Amino acid sequence: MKLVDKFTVWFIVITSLVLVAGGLIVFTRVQHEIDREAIRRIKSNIDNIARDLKQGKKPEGMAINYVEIKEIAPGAPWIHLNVYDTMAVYRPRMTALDRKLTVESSYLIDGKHYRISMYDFVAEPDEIADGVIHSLAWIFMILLIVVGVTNLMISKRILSPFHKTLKAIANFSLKKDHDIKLPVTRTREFQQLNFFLEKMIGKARADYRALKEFTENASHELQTPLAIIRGKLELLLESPLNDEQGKQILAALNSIEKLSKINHSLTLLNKLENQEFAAFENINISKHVHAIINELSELIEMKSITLRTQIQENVKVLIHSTLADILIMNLISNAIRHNKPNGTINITLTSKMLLVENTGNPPEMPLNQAFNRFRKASTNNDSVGLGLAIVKQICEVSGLSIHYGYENNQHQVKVGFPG
Amino acid sequence: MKVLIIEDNRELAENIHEFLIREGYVCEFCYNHEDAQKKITSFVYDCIILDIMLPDGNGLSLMQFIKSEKIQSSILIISAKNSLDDKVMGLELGADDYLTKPFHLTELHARLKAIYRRKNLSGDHILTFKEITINTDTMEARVNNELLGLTKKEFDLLLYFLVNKNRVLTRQSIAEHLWGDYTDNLSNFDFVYQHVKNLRKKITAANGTEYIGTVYGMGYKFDTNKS
Repeated sequence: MKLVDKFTVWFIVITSLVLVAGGLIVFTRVQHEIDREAIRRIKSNIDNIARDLKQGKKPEGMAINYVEIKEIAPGAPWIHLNVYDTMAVYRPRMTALDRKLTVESSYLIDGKHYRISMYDFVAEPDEIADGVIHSLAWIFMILLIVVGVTNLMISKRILSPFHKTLKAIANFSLKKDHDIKLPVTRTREFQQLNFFLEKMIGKARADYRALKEFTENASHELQTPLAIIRGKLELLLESPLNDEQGKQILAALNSIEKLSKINHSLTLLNKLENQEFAAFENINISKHVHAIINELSELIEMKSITLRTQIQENVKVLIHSTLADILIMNLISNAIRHNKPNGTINITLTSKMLLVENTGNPPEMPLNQAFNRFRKASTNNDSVGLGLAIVKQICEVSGLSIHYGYENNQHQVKVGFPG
Repeated sequence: MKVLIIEDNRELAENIHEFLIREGYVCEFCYNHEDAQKKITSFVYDCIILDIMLPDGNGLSLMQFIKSEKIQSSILIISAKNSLDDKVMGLELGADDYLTKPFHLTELHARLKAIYRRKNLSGDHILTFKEITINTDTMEARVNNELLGLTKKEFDLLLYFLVNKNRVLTRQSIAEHLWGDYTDNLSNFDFVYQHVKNLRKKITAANGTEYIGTVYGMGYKFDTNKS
């Protein structure tokens, strides 16, 4: 629900409550005023009649409509002013009942006790109620329309800095080194929001940059020492050695190898994150797939793996050509590495996707973690565990989709091409 | 061959130096841009090994200097940066090859030799060792004048052995030499064994001596003392 809608709903609920209460007040006030006015009028009429009586007019001659003059026992209780109302037929032959207001009062005229009463027809309560409800309904309607329209207009105006901020955040990426531009606003809440956001983003960017620089420098600075160690060990290999020493040097060399592979992969990941591969071109991915299968065919044969391919020719994909090679290479070599002896690999390329399926042990970790860095099947100690992370990053950079699944004892990695 | 190593890291420079000296090369080194400029202008080298990231100036500017002075030496760039841009720029400026750290010394040597062969058009594309002859131009290898039916990889492997005679070649370095960047994804080096086995078979089938020996647990060695 939008903020404006929330405000509006609350406003409507509260307004209707107020209107209902107001309606009750108006109703009682109006009725009260009408009664008071009617009573005052009738009373003055009665008073006039009483005066006439005093001046000697005969009660019989004054018995007009609505008026009743009655002489009662002198000892009867004195009525100062008595008002009562009943529902009665206004006119003969009319069936509708109206409110009849009767006022009576005692008068002492010439030592006689007269009771003069007079009645009149006034507006009924449900007529008043009708009027009140009607007018309130109109007021409510007008309020609704005015509030609705102004809300729409005002919210657009007032909330526009907020929406701009939202848009700016949505477009913001730590990886792109752009300053975030938040709108200038005079609303205090938005000023605070923008202030905190700017502070937070600034901090996040500084941290991210520091981390990135560290990784970059670390992997660069590691290359030279690695080269030195490797060189020293290789020189050592050429001196007379016994088997034990040789083995130890080789173990050291193997570790260097692994270190340099990790380093290489991390550097590549960094470059991908820094968008250093910007030169995308429409390449013929079929050719690349063929070339890499060709490169790896020896290895596939050596592992007695059956390779089945179904490759559509001249499939064009917009991607950096080096990245395409790394992507395909990683996928297929993964399929070889994690395969079983006498297993199979199926490679399917269509204009929509590249699908690599291979037999192998069931995955040991949740499928969605396969793309995380340094996640690897524990049984295969030789792999670094960055292959799929690189694959994922390449897909992200190049706008391809990637899906990994395990079905029918087959690992499947599917790279979907856009369009 | 006379080689100049321009590398700011002394240990690394010494590694290369020691390796190349054993090969019988005349080898000098310097650690910074300024010294390098002096040496290059005063002496003639067949090949210059250049670290692209020098403390007092980018190695690329040194390349430009070499170019502008019309110095004929071959140039092999070594760099910690495996960035495509640097590679392309270096090669465009006239470098003959580009090697990323950390490299195998045997690989460095093979590259040096290859550059050297390419530069010297005077028929140096034929490598001979006893009964083995390799023509790097036509990619043909002969043993006792009999043409060996070698695959591209086997040919490269034989060349690698011949360039690095009497040196232990680890399976890693062979794999990297034959497969380049692709080895990143190959966890075991079974296929190196396979290639070496095939190569040996083909040489012995042509009555060649089995020079290629296994150094237990470590790798292989082209042993010139075998007969």
